Amino acid sequence: MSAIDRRSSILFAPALVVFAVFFLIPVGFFFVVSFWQLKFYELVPGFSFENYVEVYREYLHAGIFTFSIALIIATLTTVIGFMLAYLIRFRAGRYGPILLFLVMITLFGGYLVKIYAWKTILGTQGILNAGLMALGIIDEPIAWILYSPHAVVLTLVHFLLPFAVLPIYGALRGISDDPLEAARDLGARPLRVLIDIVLPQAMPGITAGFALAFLISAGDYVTPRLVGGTSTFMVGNFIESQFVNRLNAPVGSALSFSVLAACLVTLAGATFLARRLLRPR
Amino acid sequence: MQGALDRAATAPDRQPLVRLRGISKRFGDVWAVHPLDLDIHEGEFLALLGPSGCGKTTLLRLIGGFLEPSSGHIDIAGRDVTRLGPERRKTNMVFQSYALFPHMTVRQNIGYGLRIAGKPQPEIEAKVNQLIDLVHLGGLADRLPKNLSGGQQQRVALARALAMEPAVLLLDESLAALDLKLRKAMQDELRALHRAIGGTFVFVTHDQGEAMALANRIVVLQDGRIIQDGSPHEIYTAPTTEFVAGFIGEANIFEGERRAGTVALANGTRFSDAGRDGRVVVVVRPDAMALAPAPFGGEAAMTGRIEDVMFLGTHFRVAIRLDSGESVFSHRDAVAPGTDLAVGTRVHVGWQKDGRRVVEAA
Repeated sequence: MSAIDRRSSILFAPALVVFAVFFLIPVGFFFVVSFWQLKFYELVPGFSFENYVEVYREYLHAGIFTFSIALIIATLTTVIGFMLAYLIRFRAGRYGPILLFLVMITLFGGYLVKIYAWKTILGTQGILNAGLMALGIIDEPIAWILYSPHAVVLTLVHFLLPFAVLPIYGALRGISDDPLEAARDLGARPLRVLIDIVLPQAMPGITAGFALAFLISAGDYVTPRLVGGTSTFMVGNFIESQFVNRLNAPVGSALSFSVLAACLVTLAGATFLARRLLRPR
Repeated sequence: MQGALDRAATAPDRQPLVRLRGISKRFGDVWAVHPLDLDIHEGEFLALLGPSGCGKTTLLRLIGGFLEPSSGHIDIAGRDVTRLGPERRKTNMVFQSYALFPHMTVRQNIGYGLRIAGKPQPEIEAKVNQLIDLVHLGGLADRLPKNLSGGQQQRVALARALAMEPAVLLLDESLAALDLKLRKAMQDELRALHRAIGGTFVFVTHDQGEAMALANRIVVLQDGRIIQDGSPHEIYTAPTTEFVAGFIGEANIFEGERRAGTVALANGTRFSDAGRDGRVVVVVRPDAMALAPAPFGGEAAMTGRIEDVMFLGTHFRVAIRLDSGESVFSHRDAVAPGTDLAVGTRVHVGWQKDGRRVVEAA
């Protein structure tokens, strides 16, 4: 090991310690717990897949629902985020940095503030319904907008947008303009340039944006509770309830790790699919 | 000899392949290109030559369709393409930065245009293989651009543009990023290519040596205007302005004034030359600047002392301080310099009538 290598590994150390103490050890602990049993509110060490079987039986439905919503949210966020990032990078010219700043500023707003903002916008007394009624488009407030899966999708897409814009913008910034002109010079229309030249090079950023949006929405339990109504329970809500209400850490852990595994599989699949579609021929 | 050199530039009655009429480009308040006309004929190897900021790249990008002109129109092969983008013009560009697609292999880069055009796969493969041979990239076909040297990337960019069989191949300072040796090799390859496949090449350069070496027609630009247009031989021997004379090759430049058919230089030398009265500059190429130990029958005769001698292989580059205080350069043949070239030697300096050129001062 050379001197430079040794020095850089010392620089790594603090991050490694934090990562180990606050992430690896707790996660490892709950992974072990997921194979334990709960008897009379006491944890009993052991090794059984019973918790996973229960998760499969009880929560498969909620899982599929959650993943569907998370996929919709992640797809919408990535598409809108890409359009925004593309606008900032290629079309906005000197207004680009201002737009980027506006996107970032929404990050300062805070998570709960945004949720409550959407509550006031979408509610029966909200701005949307009031506006539509004032315009005479509807006679009475539409009740199903708030407290529905739609509200969850809308709220989370809005909240997650900066998380998608930033990595995608980062990737787009790494793309030089000349090859785009070269592609046009070789006969490619703008859409072809986008598909053949821009998207493949932006893939790392798009994948990161999609993954962030997907993981955050698949694990979220606050938004569904506040704007999702009684019919929108996502897996996060069930995990929370296992840990907090039923004090059943083993089943909660098993559910958590099932979701984690499913997330990884979904993301790997999505990445593989995108790479395949965009592979140059 | 000169007839052969000039032929391509002066063929009068052929239909031009590219016809620019009143073309200009303004960025805000700045004129990058003032309204100008330019005809480019089939088979020409044309250099747009000028210092940076002279509008040569803008002009090339206007021809390629990457910019829309502020005025005027462009015909290519008899068709008005003024409002058409680069994807709809039969021109292809070799970019200064090469502009290769970083995520595609050499083969995919070269075949990209053909694939867009919807050519059948076997045809694309055959064509790509042929081009890979043409630009000597055999064995590198499946590499990504980042694993190629600058010269190799350059050749991929060239092959990619040639794959489209463009009516006009545009080269934007394409050799500027290469080191000297590689640049010379690429110049030879470009000339060989132009001989082999014919076609019309237009290239932008700020390097007069490169323009002289490659082109059979040079268009000199200054501040967005065409200053001179002709064969390399014409441009070198008969520059029409002081700027062209100074920019193309080395030149001794004397300031003077012409009155009633006599030019009087500031250092006292006088000779007759018909033309308008006014301030003039006299341009004498170093190879036309004669040196002799004794007075000789030149048009101009001056005396001075040899100040410095540089040996450049084929010739000596001799710096002489004239008695009038000016410094001039003379190139002397390495084998037969014709006079003693020791530093400090007093010499007679002058030129013959056909060795100088009088142009009106700017």
